[in-house]
Amino acid sequence: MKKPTSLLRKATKHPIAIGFIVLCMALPLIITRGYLLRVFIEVFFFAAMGTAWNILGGFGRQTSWASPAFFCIGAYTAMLLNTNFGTSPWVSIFIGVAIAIVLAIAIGAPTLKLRGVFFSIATISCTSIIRQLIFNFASLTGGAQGVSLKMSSGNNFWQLRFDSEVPFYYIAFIWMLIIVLITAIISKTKLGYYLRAIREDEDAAQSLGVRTHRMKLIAFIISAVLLSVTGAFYSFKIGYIDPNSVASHDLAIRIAVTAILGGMGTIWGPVLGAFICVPMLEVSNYYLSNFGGGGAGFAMYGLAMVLVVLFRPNGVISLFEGLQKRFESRKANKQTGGEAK
Amino acid sequence: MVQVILNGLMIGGVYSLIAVGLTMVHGVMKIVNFAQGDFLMVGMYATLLLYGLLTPGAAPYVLILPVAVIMFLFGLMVFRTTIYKVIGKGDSNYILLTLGLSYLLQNIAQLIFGPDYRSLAVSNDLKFASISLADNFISVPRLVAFGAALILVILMSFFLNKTDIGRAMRATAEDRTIATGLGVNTKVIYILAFGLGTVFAGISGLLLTPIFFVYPLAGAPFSSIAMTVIVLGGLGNIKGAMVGGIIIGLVESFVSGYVNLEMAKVAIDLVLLLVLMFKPFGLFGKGARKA
Repeated sequence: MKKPTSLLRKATKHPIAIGFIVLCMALPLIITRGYLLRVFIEVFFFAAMGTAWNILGGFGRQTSWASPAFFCIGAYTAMLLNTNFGTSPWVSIFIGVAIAIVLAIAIGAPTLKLRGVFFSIATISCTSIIRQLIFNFASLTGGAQGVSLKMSSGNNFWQLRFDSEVPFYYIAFIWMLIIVLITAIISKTKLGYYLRAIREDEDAAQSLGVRTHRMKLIAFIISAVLLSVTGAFYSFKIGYIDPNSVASHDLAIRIAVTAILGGMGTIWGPVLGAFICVPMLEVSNYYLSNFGGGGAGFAMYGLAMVLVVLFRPNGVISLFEGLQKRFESRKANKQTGGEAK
Repeated sequence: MVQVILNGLMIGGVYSLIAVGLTMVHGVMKIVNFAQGDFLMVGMYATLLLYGLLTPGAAPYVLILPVAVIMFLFGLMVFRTTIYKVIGKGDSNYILLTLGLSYLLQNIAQLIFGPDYRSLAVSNDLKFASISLADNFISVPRLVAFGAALILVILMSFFLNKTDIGRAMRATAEDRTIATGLGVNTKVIYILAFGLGTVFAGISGLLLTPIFFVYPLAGAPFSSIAMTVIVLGGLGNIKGAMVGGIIIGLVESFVSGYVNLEMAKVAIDLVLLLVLMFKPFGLFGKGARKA
């Protein structure tokens, strides 16, 4: 009898999170337009990717631009195995994860020894190498033409093919929740504290006995695995991938902006960021697609990145935290009868 | 073989010019500008517009001075609005800021000019002019770009070593606090260094307009190449950047000549990673490096 009440108590501590989850679960019952559901699916996928990036990029402040490398590993593994051998994505996800782990160690072990800007430069290069290799080995990867799923109809959960958007809505949403949960757990464990120590001062952390390289590598691998799985789901949702969409530097920026705009190093920040970024892009694509030469939506991504770094380095979520603090202090004031100011 | 070396040398000179601007900015204010390639793209569009307005039909090289002025003002604006706020605030701030700027500039260019590939309306006589040299050909626009880049880099080197402002700039790079104490106005030095870095990117853009197409993403490849060059030469090391540019030009031209264009890009990135792994202070061991 003890457990449900403690769970309930825990839930009441996070009323916004619980309300958000319930609302999202109920949304497909209300919304029937496929387009809106697709936007939400995109939001969830970007929230998932931003959250995965946030583990190393936010908590550890190691700005990696290699996320598309892992994303495209997951996407290409799932798509190629499916189109060539009919393998179910539920199986190939694990193969993609295995490859992503190997790749994460291969990239991470040497590059994570580098500090600051050198790590960023190295990861940009890694993404670009992977992209060029996909272009170069066209017989295997389809090169610039990419890979697309064969047209099919009917619902098939094993093959992840659905006629409506609703199943993918729930897959994307639940996957995002899983990643958020993993991040929440990480932030409460030693790994999370070590990463924060690395963010504040890597040398100091090291001198206090934190094995910084190993901690960064673990975070990098976790983030790579999550990105790879997201890549597999995302590619089956879209049904088509090519190097310029899944292995591009653009994608690295968009993933990072999601987390930066929302709030680096916070649990719900990237989710909030995705809820701002993706609709912003959709709205500007809709209204501004004929404005100038196009690209207005992406220009806003760049602008958002610049503005957040300059004026709100802790992200949009810090606005809410400020409000919450004010609210709490007012509550505390009331409880003490307004004596303490 | 000789042809491949010539091609590599020619383009390598331009890489040197872009990288010298970048490495100088890093030397003075410890900021790596990830938008350097996009400044080059701005320079390309500036050349394109001015050429149409002022000197249609002439060689675009007469526009060097106006483009330099425009780029200096542009650099000043960027510096005053954004860059100066993140100086000395840690690596991740300027990385995110300049990458954001890069993305913003690319898409603003797309917004204004559209995604089309444009080229300078110079006569084909200039575009395809070449000098033959014992069975080998040197394209004239590439030769001019190489020569101009070389002259500018040498002038820059002279400026840094022989003039008072240049010495003040090097002093600021060495230690800002002490330089301030010695009466150097480091704020002015910052502005000057960033402006010059932007001018170098812009002039590289001008030199490349007769050779490459102009489009919003035209600068992106040069960003990563310039990054490789400055790491190869050692961050903040001007001479290193000059030699590094030539080396990268040669690497690119050899791999694209004997393998293919895609693998040439892979080779450049591999050079970068290998240097970071094994020669972390750059080839010449003088680069400023914290870790």
